[in-house]
This record gives sequence, structure tokens and C-alpha cells, in this order.
Amino acid sequence: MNGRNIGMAMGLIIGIIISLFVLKAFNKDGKMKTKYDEMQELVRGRAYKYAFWILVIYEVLLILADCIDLDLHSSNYLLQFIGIIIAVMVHAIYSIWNDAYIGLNTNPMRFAIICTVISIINLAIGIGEVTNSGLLKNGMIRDSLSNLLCGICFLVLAVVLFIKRSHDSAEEESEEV
Amino acid sequence: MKNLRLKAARAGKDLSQDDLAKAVGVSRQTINAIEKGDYNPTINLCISICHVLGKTLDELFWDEVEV
Repeated sequence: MNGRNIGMAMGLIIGIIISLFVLKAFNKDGKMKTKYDEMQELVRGRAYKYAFWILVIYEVLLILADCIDLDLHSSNYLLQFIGIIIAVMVHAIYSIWNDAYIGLNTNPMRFAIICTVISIINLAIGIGEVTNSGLLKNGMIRDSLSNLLCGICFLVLAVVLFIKRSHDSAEEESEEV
Repeated sequence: MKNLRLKAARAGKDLSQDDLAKAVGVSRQTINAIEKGDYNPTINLCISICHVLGKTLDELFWDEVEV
């Protein structure tokens, strides 16, 4: 394991630890576990199913690409990270659009703000890396693209949340008696 | 199929979707989905809603089918 890989591993571990604290900050009751009602649990189950199959299809495509010696100019780390980002996006967007992403004890405004902040931090790191060092290194896409992807993922989540909220407000006015 | 009886019973008690949702421990969107007929609640949730609205299961959730 070289220094770069240790750095990557440390970055991931620190990211996981920070996300545990962020989870607590999302919730109004300060608890890490987000509560969902029965309809939300059902929808989230469907969302996990779609995300799972998308990830399986993605992995099969990677295996096929490997079998035919297709050079994707990316490290294994980056390719796996892209798969995770795609699956997370599928799960999150489906859940948001079907009212199952924001839990009963979640503060939606705090959630949207944290998403936006995480997005800005990752986009700044990603754009900074690409601007300073370029997208490619020795013909391979730099692993730091993962920051850019993470930033885009959170930005998309924040935008979908905002669109859904606007859509709901309009619907709420017509549905309420 | 829309559940207009639930909507009417809720309005009769002067409750908003949010009020009813909080009383039975679900999200406002879930109550909205039940009223719109987009979601079939479990029997436990039906019973909770009936208790809050002071109605029976038949009054709110039973569909009379003509034979």
C-alpha cells in the first residue's frame, strides 16, 4: 500500500465518521436513526431494489469492459466510486420524489442546507484539483474526480429536494380543505 | 380511488392533513396519499386514523360493492 492509497483510505474513513455526525445533525430529535412511516418504508424498499439492480447492471458492464480489454482510463477505485454514486442517486431521487427521503424526525431545511454545504465543499475541491492538475494523469482520469462527482451528487439532491418542495407546496394548497 | 370519506371526516374535525398525520405518527404526504387513493394503509394505521377521527373502519375504509 503506497502513500496515495493510505491517503485515499484515510479520506474515506474520515468521510464516514463525519457523515455519522451529519446524520445526527439532520434530525430534530438529535438521534442518529431516522424514523420513517409505513408508506415511506415501502417506497424506500422499492428505491433500494432499483438502486441494487442498477449497481448490478453497472458491475456487469464493468466486467464486460474488462473481458474485452476496454481501457476506461480510470482506476478501479474511481470506477467503483462512480457505481456507488449512481446507485445512491437512484435511491435518493426515487425516495425524494415519492416522499420517502425526509424522515418523520428530519429537519428538511437543515437537510437541504447540509446537502448544499457538502456539495459546495466537494465541488470546490474537485474543481480546484482539475484546474490545478488537469483531469488526466499518465493517461488515467485522476481519482480526485470523485470529489467532483460527490459534489454533483449532493447538488442534484439539493435541486431535486427544492423542486419537490415547490411541487408539494402547490399541491398542498389544492388538496387541503 | 379517492377516499373522500376520510377527507370529509378530517375536515369535519377541523383537522389539516398535517394535524392528522402528527396525531397518528405518519408524514403529511402519507395522509395525502391515502386521501388520493395512491396508498393503501395497513390495518394498524386505519385503526389509528379511525380513533383520532372518531369513526369506525366501515365508515372510513369499507367499500360497498354491489352484487
